[in-house]
Amino acid sequence: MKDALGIIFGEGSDAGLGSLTAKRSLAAVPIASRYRIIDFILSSMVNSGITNVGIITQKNYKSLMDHLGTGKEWDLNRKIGGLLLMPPYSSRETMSNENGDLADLAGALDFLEKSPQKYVVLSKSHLICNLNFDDAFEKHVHANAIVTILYQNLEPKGEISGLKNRFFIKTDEDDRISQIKAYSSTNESNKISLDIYIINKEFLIYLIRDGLASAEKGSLSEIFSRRIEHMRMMGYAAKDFVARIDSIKTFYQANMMILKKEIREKLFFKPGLIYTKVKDEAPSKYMESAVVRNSLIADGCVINGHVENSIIFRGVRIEKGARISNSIIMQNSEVQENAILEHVILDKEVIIRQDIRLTGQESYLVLINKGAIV
Amino acid sequence: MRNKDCIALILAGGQGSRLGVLTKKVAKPAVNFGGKYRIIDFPLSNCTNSNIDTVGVLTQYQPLELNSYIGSGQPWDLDRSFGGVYLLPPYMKSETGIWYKGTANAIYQNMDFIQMFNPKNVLILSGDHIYKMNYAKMLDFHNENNADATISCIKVPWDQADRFGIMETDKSMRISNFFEKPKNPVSNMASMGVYIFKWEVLKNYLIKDEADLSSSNDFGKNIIPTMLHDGQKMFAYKFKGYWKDVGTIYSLWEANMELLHKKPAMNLFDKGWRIYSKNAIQPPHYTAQGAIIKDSMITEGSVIYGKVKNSIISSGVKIGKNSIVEDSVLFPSVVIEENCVIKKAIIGERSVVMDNSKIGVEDAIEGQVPSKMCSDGIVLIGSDLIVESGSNIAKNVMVE
Repeated sequence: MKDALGIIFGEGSDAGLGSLTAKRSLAAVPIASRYRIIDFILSSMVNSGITNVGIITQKNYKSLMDHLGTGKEWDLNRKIGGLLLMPPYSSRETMSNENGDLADLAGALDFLEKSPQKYVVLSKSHLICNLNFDDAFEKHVHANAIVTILYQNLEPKGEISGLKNRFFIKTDEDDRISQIKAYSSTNESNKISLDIYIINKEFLIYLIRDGLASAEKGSLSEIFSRRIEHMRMMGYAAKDFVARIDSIKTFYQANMMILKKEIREKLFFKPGLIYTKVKDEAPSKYMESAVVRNSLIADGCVINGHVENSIIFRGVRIEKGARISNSIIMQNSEVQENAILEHVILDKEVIIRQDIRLTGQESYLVLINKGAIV
Repeated sequence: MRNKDCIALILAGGQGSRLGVLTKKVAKPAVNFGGKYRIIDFPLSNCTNSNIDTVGVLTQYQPLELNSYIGSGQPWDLDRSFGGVYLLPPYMKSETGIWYKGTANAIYQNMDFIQMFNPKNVLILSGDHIYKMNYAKMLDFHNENNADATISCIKVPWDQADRFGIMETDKSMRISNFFEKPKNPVSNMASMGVYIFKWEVLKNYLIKDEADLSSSNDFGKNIIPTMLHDGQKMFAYKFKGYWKDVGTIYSLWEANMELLHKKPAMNLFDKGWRIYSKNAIQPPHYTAQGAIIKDSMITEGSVIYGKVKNSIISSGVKIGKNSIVEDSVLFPSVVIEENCVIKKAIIGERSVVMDNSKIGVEDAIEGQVPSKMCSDGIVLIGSDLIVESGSNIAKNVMVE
């Protein structure tokens, strides 16, 4: 896939993970003990042979910049191509960032024009996945398509909630797209768009220019749906595990799903590895009273309490008598003696003092802000 | 011309023959340690943390793995445009080309490299000790004394003093006598093999030493005694703290076990003095429902279903259901299948112990010869081996 560049939107258009995204973009939200959400789509692109990736950021991009650095962990610290962060861009044409995806992409025009690649793989950052785009890319080129939309087949009686802002497509027997439609109660298709696109670069440039001139608003799905008659659009069914993060609930569920062996073994190893920023922590230390069951634990932790069904990030301390279950404990947080946490999400650097008890429920998780002392 | 105040040279050519099968294919400095490190991470990280940004690593024996491990030096922040890390194997010169004959000869052969940076001082280190040391403080001490050479020293037990270079000093710590491996030690102040020399002074001694055909071209045996004899200003710098030579199977095992103490003398969790290493790309480790882990260190990428006690588990290790691992050190990507018992073992990278095997349980088994390298009941299994189902390996055995 040397002939494709990557573009990732740092923000989901409907991002809202409460205080987790108060001071960081969705892409930079910590997940799965040692990653940030963007690691998965970025690693997927790198593992597909893409060596030129631009990331469109909108607001609060400091922690994303800090995470990505020069891109060396993804092997993107290159002279030719590599990683480019594109902070918000405004001009007379793009006054506000509420103008939709094309306005956001305006900041990438220069990058698109100067890059030698002929195709673009474009995605939002909020997908927890391990994908390889080689096959989709080949089909795209072979079918002479202008746009290919990656989709997944939803199980017939799949979960309905969370589909409100999602787009469904209809395709003919050759996977050519005949309809793109937002979800409604009378939805007929089970092909849900992943909002990952393979696009001919010249067309994308034309679309951005045209969109800027006519102030065309909306998401790319809407924009493509308006043009469906005039262009050759193909679908591509992605069969791998993909979790979409668009709420605290889906964030929590995605973390818990990774505790499952089948998902873990694929998500972290197949088809490629998932890269992230290295922190040089020591291996985690289990002390005398440690009891850990069905949990994922990163390096640099010291554990002397009980941990069950939980996701523990780097550098966490869990003291004697503390009991943590069904929870997510982020980097450098500390849970002191005899504290009890159930269904809790602790952001980074939180201290839970001894004997404190915080109990949430799966439908109502307790979320503690970064740096808080409880 | 830009020049450096001090550059470091790490002697990493040692074969480490007392480590048996562990150094069959890798040089001693590349031997795994503490779950995610290699021995050379300690001097390299000490350099980084001491603001020494130019390091030459002198390799000779089995350099392949060490070379690929160090690479550009990026994990230690040593990928600098002026300075950084350099791998220095022996090479052919215009007329001759020879292996490094001794520690001093190894430096002599790299004089051109050192001259590139025209440093005031050179710091000479060995690549086979586990310790955390601020070389900047030693350099301050060296400069304050306007010393020609400063040797770092540590108190060792009297009964071991005959294995080291032993120093006698006056009250100002100026060295009056130096004895290399003395039969009857007069002091227990031992050289750690950490030296700082004024480059201008050392250069001359290296040239003279090379011309002396009877010399064994060694710092401890030749350079230091000669300099002392000539009345050069040489000082001993007292180091206090953890310092361990991991040159034998037992000391390597013991140093690993010492990390598991409640308050270990070698604290790897110290954020002010991190030990850097090349991190494997691995997910967090997973501890399953039935697993029991106590007093152990577990690294990313491991998957634990069994019972682990008092052990070091490196990245990517798998321990199956109902298996017991005790007092052991498992190197990266080792697999222990189900129903195994592993006691006091060091198991090399990527080796697989198939189900129902016992390692280090029986005192002796007919037909299994205890190894001279192993002692105190330690079993050593080499890398890339397969221990077949139902195997039984006795204490003190080395499997190649």
